[in-house]
Amino acid sequence: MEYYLDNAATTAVLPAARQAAEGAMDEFGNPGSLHAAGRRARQLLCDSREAVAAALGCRAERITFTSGGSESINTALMGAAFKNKHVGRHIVSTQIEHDATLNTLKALKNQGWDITLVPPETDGTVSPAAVGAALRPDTALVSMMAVCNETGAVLPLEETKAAMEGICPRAIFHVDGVQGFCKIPLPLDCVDALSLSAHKIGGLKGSGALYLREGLTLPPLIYGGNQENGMRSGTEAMPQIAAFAAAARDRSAHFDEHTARMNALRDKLIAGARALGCDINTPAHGAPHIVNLSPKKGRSEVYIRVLSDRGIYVSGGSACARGKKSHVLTAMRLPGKNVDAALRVSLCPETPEEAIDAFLCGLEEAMKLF
Amino acid sequence: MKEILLCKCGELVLKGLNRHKFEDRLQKTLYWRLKKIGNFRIHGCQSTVYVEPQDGEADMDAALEACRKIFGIVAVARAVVCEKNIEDIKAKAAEYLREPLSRVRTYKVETRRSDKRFPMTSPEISREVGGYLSDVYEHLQAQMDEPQLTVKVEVREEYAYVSAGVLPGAGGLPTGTSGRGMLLLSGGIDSPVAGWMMAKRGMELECVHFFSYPFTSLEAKQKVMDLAEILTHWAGRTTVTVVPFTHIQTEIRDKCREDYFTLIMRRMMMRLAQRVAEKRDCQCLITGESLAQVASQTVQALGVTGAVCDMPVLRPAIGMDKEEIVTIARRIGTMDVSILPYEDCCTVFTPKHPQTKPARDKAEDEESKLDVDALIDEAMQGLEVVTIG
Repeated sequence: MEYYLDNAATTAVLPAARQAAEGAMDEFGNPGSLHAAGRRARQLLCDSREAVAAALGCRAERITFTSGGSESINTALMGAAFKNKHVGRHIVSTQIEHDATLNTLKALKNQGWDITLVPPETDGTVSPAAVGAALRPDTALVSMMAVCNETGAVLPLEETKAAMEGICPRAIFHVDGVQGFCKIPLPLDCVDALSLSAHKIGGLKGSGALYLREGLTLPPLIYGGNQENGMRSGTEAMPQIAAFAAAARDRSAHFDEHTARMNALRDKLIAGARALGCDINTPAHGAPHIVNLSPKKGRSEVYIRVLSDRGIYVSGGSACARGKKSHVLTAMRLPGKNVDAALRVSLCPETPEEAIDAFLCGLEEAMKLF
Repeated sequence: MKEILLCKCGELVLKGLNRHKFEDRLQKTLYWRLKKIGNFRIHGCQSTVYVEPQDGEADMDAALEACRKIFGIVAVARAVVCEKNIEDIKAKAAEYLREPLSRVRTYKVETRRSDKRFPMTSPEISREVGGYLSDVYEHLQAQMDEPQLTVKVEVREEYAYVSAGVLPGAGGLPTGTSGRGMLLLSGGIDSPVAGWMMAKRGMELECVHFFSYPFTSLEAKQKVMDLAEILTHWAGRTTVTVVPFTHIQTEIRDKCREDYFTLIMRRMMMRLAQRVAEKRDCQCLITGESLAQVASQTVQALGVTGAVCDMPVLRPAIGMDKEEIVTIARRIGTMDVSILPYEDCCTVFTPKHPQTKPARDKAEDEESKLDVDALIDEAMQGLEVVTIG
């Protein structure tokens, strides 16, 4: 029996998404073609855009399909920096962002931008006051994740926007919504740009979207045939897009039921891990699908191997950062041994309750190794 | 034009009556390494081994690279074969060296004439060929001191050879002429270098690796296999004997004093390595230890760890700085693999304050808390031998 508890890394493809992708492979026309096959593909593209927009709560024309979260984030940050360079040369973000953000900001720093990264609190949250203190009148761009991929912390988007209104009203506010989409309500009215990924909600890898608010246009990252209104050239990846739409439809339709279920599993997991003597690195009011915990002793990778041999799949830190110390937990100033031992357990609405029991049981066994 | 590789033998030519054994071994090694690359005739004469392609399909670039990794060869020249008359030598030299000569301005010609029946002396040949090249390539200027290119002409028994100089080879002695050593291969930078250094002196290599799953990963084990594979390019076919080491490590951690963890672990490794070495017919152990690099490599610690074996323990990197070791690791191609970030067994339970001046009797006291023989026997039951190359 296998229990997949690494849904923040990627999720299983939902049956509806698989079916939609297969449909788009049968109906293989290019949405840019004038003939009937092209028209049918164009219709599918249009419907898919509607579906993702509806799940997010915006109008369809605000959605640009991309190759995934990283591309969306790159497009938003590079574009916003270019667009707003007359406002100032300062960018505010946080120390707990995903590498897609941090490394894009590093590239901007090399171009002469001044970057301020707000540190998290020791519980993993980001305080609105700390963000407010980092803002300056010449801040041109603020980028923040909705949900931290390592701890599940929910970041203060609305408070940040409010603080921006007072200090740097012309700054563009980008939100990395990759882990937040379909997991928590996203306050779209306070956001200028928002990045999404399909494979975190049951879609396919290599697929994502960028939301831009009404009236905001950004220069594209990829030039070519002017697909996606010129925002993102390249023939549309129809199977991925159709799957993304199907997954978004499914997830948004059952949002309340799914989050309630994951919250219950999360509470059970936290209580069980505490009973085993683990420290919980996830803040109290986090996203429903991520729990980060540290056994008292040992190293993440050993736990991961032992659990993996029992068919239980979790990660340490984030899956992208294999073998590196977590920059998020380090920024939270956790003791070194907690950083070394940290495990991230991430759920999906289909996670069976017995997976939690199996994990706790496996963890207890593995802890005996140390 | 027919090309050939001239492999110059190193110190093996200084050997006495058993010299032919070294030569045979070198030719066998050449045969096996070049077999994969193409159809070559390999024959020796004086202090040179000739590698002659037998058809047009042989990849001479790959053959040259392979020859430069064979121990016992100090230099390799890629040359064109000429008839033994000065006209043919001149014409072939001009044609064969067109490309390298077009890239330089200054050059000289050096000649060696081992066949003294050839009607011209070496200086005469050099002058004649040099004059001809200057006529054909007007941009060239002869220069005796530090020219950009030295054209080599060799007049030998059957043919004459012209090349654009020689490339350094691996040096050392032919693999298999100095016995067999069991290399303790960890996955770090030092142990592959140590193995390479002993292979350079003609030693055949076998490897032993201590595997501490789940404390170390399958990736770490694969990394060791990859390192062994790189060593085979130099030292030929090898084996990696994987010894299950987890139980021993947890026993040490549970029962022994923390500051002696690493030391006792290494004593267990040496015991096991010797057992494996005996089994695989090796005459010595090889380690990558470098004096005082880490706590377990102080002279006191080496004494305490080495005390458990009666086989010679060769530590070729003992007097080398890390930078010197890294330079060799880069040259032999193991560095990029060695620095992959997988933990090896040596770092699993590292004490905070390891003992740098251990005493043998204290180590023995600590070890008496373990059932050493039973642990060794248990590990020997679970050996996995992987052949590489």
